[in-house]
Amino acid sequence: MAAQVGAVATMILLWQAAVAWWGLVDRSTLPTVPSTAAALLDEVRTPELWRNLGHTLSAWVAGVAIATVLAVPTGLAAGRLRWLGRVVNLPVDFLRTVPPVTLIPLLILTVGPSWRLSVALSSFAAFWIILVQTIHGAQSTPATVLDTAKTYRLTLMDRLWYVFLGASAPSIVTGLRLGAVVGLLVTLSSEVIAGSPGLGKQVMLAQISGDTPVMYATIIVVGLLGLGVNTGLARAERSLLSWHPAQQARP
Amino acid sequence: MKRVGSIVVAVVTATGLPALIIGAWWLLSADSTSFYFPPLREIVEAGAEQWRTGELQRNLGASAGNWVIALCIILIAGIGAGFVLGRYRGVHQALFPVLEFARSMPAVVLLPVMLLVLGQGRSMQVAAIAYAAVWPVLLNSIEGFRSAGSQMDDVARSYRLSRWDRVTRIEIPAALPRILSGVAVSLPLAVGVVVIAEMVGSTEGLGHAILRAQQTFEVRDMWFGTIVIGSLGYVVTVVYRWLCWVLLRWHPETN
Repeated sequence: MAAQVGAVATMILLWQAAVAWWGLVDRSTLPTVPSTAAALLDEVRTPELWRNLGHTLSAWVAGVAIATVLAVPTGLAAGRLRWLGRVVNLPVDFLRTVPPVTLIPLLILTVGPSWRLSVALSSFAAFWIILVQTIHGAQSTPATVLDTAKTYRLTLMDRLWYVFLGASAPSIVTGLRLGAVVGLLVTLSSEVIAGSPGLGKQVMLAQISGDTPVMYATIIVVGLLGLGVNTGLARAERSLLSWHPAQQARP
Repeated sequence: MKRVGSIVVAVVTATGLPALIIGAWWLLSADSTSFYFPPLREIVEAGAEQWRTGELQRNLGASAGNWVIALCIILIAGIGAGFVLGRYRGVHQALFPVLEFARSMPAVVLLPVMLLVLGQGRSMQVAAIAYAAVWPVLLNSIEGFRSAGSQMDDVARSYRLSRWDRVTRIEIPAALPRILSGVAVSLPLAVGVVVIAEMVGSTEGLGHAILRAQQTFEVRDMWFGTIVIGSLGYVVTVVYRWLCWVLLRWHPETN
């Protein structure tokens, strides 16, 4: 712990030293630590930052939610029904490797650089990740488990809900986490490139107007957002699956 | 005869849907007068024109060049740092918060910084690609070398293998499956970042070409470029799968 605090402090000191004391980097490129901190404090008090944070978060959540609603049922069906799995295999394998940002020019033309563009793009990105993980989970459900549930005469609804979905759950939840992380990245990309509203656009505008302290302050906010999302989702995944044997085996 | 029949059925089920989609697109768009959704035939013709003028080859070359250079940096830096951080736990422990922050940072918001520091051009794009796509390789290398270090090291020591032999014959092969699965994530990710970097700070490359085609309303060129980039990710993934299969044939889990 002490070493970790020391490492973070060293990084910040090196930053300050490189700019203010050694003059290695020009101040117009990298502002000093105090002026960045001051810009960050100013930013936190403006409604601008919170409005942009709201745009980013709402586009991200809406995109991932749309992707989840579409991908999970499709994935369960494609994983359970062999013929369907074989038919969709090649298109899924192809489309999931399409870099989502490739669609930005097309979406600028058809949807316009807006909040809806971010939603569409993040849902596209998250959809394939969640779909692939769901298919994988559904395919790896052991046949004996499904047969046992049948012999115990569980109703079809119960079998699907408790047995099939339960057995596929770990893979689906991992897919949701990965899809959400990539979804956030893609949302920010659409803001930087297409200029749809949000924190990414704020960073880009600060750079264009030469306001480097604000640019770095916003980047720090985005970094903290990414850190919070990453650790929060990893923790949520663990607690959601705490009942699963594979999770309990972990230290 | 029966075998041939089942192969035909397998091929048809695997390729039927893509063929159907492309066929439907071709037929349904044939009479399209919509500005945004031109006939597929005209998109293909626009692509053929790009090939004749050499524009396609030029953009493809620029994108591929950046991708390859960034990839070399990723492999050297990611595996090298992974080796150090995997072997020396104390260092990894101390740097953990810094690494975690850097890895969680959505790399795209660093593009404006890189534009500021490095200006428009190759070095900025390579830096952006390397930074954004190094993490899967680095994190998997750390894990790989960490798990390789413990038990087998004791055995190797008692056989008095030299330090060089221990690293090249035991630790690197033991870490290789993890490293390769990290590379598998980094490769298509890097393709995506090539496109992003070219859209933000370049005057060449496929990403720049489709964004410019959109801005000048050359919708056919834009569609063609989108299809080309979309296919590149798949080509990279398929080639890499084959390469992994070759590299890991000796590994017990592959057989």
